[in-house]
Amino acid sequence: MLLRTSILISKNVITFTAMAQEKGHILFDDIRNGDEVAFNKAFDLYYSRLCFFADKILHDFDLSRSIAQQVFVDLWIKREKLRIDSLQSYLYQSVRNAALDVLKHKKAESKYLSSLEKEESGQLTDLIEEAELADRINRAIQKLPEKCREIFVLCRFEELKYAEIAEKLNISVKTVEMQIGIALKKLRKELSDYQMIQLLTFIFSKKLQVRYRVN
Amino acid sequence: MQNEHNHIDLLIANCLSGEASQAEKDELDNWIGESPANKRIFEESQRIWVKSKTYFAASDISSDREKIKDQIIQQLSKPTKTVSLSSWIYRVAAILALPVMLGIGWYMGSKEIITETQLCEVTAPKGQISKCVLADGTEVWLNAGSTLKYDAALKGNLREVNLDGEAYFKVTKNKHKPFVVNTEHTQIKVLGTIFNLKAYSGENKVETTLEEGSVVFSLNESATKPVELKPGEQVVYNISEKTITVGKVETYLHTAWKDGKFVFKDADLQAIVQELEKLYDVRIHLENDSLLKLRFRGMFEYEQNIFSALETLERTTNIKYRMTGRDIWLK
Repeated sequence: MLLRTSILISKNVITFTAMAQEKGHILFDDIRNGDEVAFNKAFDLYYSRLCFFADKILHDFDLSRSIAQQVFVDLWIKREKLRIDSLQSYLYQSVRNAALDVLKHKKAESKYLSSLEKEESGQLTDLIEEAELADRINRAIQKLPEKCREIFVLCRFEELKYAEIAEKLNISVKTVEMQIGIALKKLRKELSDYQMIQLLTFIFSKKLQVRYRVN
Repeated sequence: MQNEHNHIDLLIANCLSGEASQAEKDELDNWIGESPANKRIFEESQRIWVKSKTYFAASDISSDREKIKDQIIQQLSKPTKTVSLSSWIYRVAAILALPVMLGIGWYMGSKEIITETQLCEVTAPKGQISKCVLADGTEVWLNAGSTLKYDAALKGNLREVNLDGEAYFKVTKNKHKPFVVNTEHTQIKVLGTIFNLKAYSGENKVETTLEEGSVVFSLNESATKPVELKPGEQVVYNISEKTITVGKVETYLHTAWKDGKFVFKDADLQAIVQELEKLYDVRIHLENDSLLKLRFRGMFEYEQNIFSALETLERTTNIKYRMTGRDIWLK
């Protein structure tokens, strides 16, 4: 049963990736011609995803951001010399290489590095999928109404207690509670498309499996 | 029903954030047990909760976009390179001259057919800035004393216009039909971009300053390789010396005129005088050559009259002016 679902899912992921690649191909042709609009589009489409992706390797979000930035700088400056079939794979590969380079300098994490270097391509795909998921969730949070987003961010990312948020924003605890509820509901709705649920379920169940095995 | 749902959302939120009381936890457990659909709702919420580990705010993303642009500009700003048209190029040019002339002949011929359609001419008289919008949506600001000629319908494979003077172009993107600006000595070819072109007949140089996108600059009568400009770069063609210089500039200094401002930073009096002559349709004479050594920084607004410009000069330097009709003497 589990096997069947995962085959179904990987098919979906492949179609999704193929679509993005097609888009990326057209985009790169324009970027090559010096089209800044296309460059901005590529940034909108891939930048945050790449940051999340680098973060999966580095576990340092600020560092991940500067790596992804450098990849975009290089993309523009070297655009005429680049031979790219798929903009998406090029970006992920470049970010991955840069992130691994950083790790190489951090000898302390050599153990993690060697496990990553030996990774099968399957594992890299996992990281990409996870990054795409994180990015989708992030985009959904960005779409929340301002107040709702502010409260959700304070609760989830700053890890403040309801009472602390209430005091900080000068509102009642009840309002905080309600806004978190509304945020979750809206996020569920925003992320409710078929592919997304599959991706969520897939990655989540795999994580659980691993955890159980370790225990 | 609606209320119940809101209540459940609240319960889920409280449980996930660890703020739920025991009673609330029990209530949620019961609700989850009621149906597989309920269970699914809870699990989806839980996954979203667990997976949202880092928040990347839209404002941070756009500040990163700016960082990337700054980095690109920084990395592209190389020292100024000067290309000199050495004599061997002329020899090559001589060999190439025949086909080029044939090309020009054909081009002139085809131009005549176009003439029948509708040739437009826009002029900004001295002391005035004009703006026009072409058929394809391209916007053109014409600086004082400039003329733009073009085929109204922009027919053919190229969108071609001819310029004498200075203009700021905001070219509508169309990669199938390049936009070409011809001047007496040069040609600029673009796909979709924003740039300033200064090519007054009678002045010894042609300046092209690129704000956005890319343009290809080439000379009309030379085999020199065309120069492709990056945003923030300026190419200056010196007509008498036949040299091309490419460098980074502050584009604003060269494009502020379209907003009715003349901004200069470390300019000599000659440059300012040239600008004032165009702006106010006057003739300015320098009575003392040592004035040419003075350097200036500052700004004039087009709406100010010539007197306020001259008085600013008087106030900030030792220069005195006298005026007879449209002639002004500085000393």
